[in-house]
Amino acid sequence: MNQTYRYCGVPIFSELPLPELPTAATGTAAERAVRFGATPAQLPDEQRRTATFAHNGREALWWLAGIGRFHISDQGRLITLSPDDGAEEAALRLMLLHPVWALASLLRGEWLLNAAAVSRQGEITAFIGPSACGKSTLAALLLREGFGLVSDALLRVTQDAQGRLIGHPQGPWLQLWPSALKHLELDDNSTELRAGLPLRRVILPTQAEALPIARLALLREQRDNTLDILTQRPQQGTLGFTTLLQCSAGNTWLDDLADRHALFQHAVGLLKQARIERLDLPWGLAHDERMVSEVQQWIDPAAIGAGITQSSMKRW
Amino acid sequence: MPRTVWLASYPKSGNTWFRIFLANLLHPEQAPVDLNQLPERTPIASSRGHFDDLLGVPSALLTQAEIDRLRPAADAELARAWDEPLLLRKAHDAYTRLPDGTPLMGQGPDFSAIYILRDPWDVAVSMTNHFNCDLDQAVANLTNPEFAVAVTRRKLNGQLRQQLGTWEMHASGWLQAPMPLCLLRYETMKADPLPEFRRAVRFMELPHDDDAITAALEASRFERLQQAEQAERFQETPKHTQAFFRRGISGEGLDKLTPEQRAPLETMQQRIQALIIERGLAA
Repeated sequence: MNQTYRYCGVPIFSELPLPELPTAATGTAAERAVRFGATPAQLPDEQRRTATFAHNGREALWWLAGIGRFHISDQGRLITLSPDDGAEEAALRLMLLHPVWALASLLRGEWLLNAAAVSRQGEITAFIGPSACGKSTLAALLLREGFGLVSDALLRVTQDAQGRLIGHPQGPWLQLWPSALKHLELDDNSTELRAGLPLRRVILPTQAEALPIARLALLREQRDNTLDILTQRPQQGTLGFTTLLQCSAGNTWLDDLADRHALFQHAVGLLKQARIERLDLPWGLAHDERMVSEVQQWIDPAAIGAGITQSSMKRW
Repeated sequence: MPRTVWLASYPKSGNTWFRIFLANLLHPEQAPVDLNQLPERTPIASSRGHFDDLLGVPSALLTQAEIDRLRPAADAELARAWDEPLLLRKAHDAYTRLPDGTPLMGQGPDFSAIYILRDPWDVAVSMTNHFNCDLDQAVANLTNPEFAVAVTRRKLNGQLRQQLGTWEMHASGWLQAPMPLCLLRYETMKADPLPEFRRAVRFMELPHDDDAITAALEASRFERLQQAEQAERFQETPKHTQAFFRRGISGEGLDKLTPEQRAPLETMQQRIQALIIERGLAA
């Protein structure tokens, strides 16, 4: 059934059912649309073509054999979808809500961070970093400590009326691997994302409103490290700016498609507003109590001993 | 577009040592280089992060078949984005073909390879340390046509799955790959380093003379690497392992392996030796 949903704070009308998303309030005007239809093989005046995408600076194509083709037009407002024969609907939704969404957002002039984010006391802490650095797992561990869920992978950043940079709730889920699910005792609540994929989804309540971003932690790729304590390295100035760009969703297309002025303004604003630090932390689910305790202390040094217990290990 | 040169080998065959040598050669002002921050970039073929960034799709959302199918495209995108004339890339993957016949690791003239070959009995001994297994298991790995690393589906690995196959399949695939190839023997690199490393330097079309190569070799001496590792843990060392640079000697496996463990490895080694001669790859 055609519906208007809400994703990353954006009302989106979709002919493809998106049951994982909350529906938008009745009467909400959609800002983007997903429709079934024919997609072109090529774009006029293509500037770049790879094995998965092509664009001409104004429109883009994204495709994956066996799943389908997506044509993004009207400055990112319209996504036309043409499924391949036998395509799994779950795989179509997965691609629509991640790579295709990131590409469409860039064409809209918007900025998304690749971030798992949580909230407490009206502000957001976002975890950024390379693939497999443990962003979602850390978010899951903090949810157990009473934090709210903001995003699993895509954090849309905009400026509010007061000029603050705010992060919008993505969708009501975390996507986790079997070892993390087992550790968090969430196996029974998880569902398959697409056939044969070990990564699974857990539906969780999400923070309802967009909130200011107070801090970003750059996590490093985990290599079974043997660190004993959490160390912090501020990411200021150019280093911070570079970090934010590297951790932008769709950074593949940043050079070609981003609204450079808006991106620069947002990144500089975030550097002023938020604490951005690289965290090297003792990692591994076997050390989760210590890890969570250290991260909570980093988030709010005054909170430990003043109401927030050190890794109280509350259950869901 | 830069020239892509694979620095390919079975794991535990001297690849890291060679890359440290390269870093010392290309950045003599930093020699001996910091092992945890090598100044020379040699992005590994199986990096999940590079794949995700280059293709704009998180590999975690893809099936293994989709990832394999897209890896050559990620390699092409990395080459496109590379801002230097030479792109050196570490690889442990076997030289295999995708179901449609496309080689996973490319072919000439866009690609060439330096292949480091180490005697399998010594690889077996080194593997026990790196993979935290006994010699029986190491030999089983080296003779397993399905052997692969980064295969777990329990958690997200920073590396994409790498199919290795047997030690023989790995060597045979690379030695017959349709691309220019420079074969280095680990045993020769240890016994008589200058000519062996000089061949590699010439293959990469680097201008460095023997003095520079000798200096880089000195900065990469095994004892130095061990000392550096004692001072600061090497980040590529697996958690359960005390030291990455363990002994680095040749022939240890001949003493440590039983005749039963050695037999299949010797058979494989003899066939590869014959292939090397047949293809005129002996130094």
